[in-house]
Amino acid sequence: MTTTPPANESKPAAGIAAWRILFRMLAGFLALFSFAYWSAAGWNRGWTKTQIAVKQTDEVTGIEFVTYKQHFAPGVELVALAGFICVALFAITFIRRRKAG
Amino acid sequence: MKPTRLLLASLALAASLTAAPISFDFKDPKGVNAAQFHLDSMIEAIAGTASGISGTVSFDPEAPAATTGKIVVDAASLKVTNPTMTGHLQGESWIDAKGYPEITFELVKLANVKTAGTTTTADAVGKFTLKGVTKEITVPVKLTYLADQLGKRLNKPELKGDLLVIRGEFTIVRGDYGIQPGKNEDKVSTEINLSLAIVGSAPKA
Repeated sequence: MTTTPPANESKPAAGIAAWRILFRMLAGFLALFSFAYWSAAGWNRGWTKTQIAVKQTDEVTGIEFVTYKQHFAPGVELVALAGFICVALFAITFIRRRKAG
Repeated sequence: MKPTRLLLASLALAASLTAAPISFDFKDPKGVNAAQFHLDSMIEAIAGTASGISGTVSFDPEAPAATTGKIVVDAASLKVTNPTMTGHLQGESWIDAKGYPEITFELVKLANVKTAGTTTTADAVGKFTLKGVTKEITVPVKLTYLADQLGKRLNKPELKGDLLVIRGEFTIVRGDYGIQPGKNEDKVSTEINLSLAIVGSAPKA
């Protein structure tokens, strides 16, 4: 006994469209790049910083004081944003256009 | 006047001069002075500094209990390592640096004063003002008097003068000073830890 598919269901694609492959590669590349950059920039598990605090000691008084050095350290919110874009790019490749009739 | 009387009068004058309180200026030429703050928060603790310290303290090495003075912190000098967060902290909903540009501590008295050598420990009772709200608080402090160290510190041996180092640490409840009272308590701690390590200088003529 054979069944016929409903008329409104699309036929399976013969192969994966080029743009889907491109988007999946892009998502993978972005995930790898953002993780590598975040790791190389100091593995900052806090919020993004544009400066880092450097502790120093005043010789005569012994007072510990802080100076600030320019340094960009991406934080977890930027990693999360990159992750969201990666997932979105990957998810887009699974969208199928419905054929009318 | 007889020479003996003159000598005695000179000695008395010298004694009264040395016993006079010394006025220390806390606007540090080296820019080391700062108040540090720390409060627990989600993801990571919020920690930063406020470097705009000024004010004067009158300190008598012979009578530390008689110390008086006022320390002023420029609210706009408060900063953390994230510029967005610095903006939020200085904004109206937090310390409102534009509306209330000064954070002050005015010493009323020193209690439980103990001196050993050049170091005095005490409880500083004073009026702490933040965001326009003044409350009397007690801060355990340590004062270190460094005689004739000003020139050495500034790498100017020809400069004569003394130094006074003040260290203190205390905790305030942000809601008590109108800083987001009852808000975001699950995200940002209600308590702010403040620590102070500052030096004042008193040049001698």
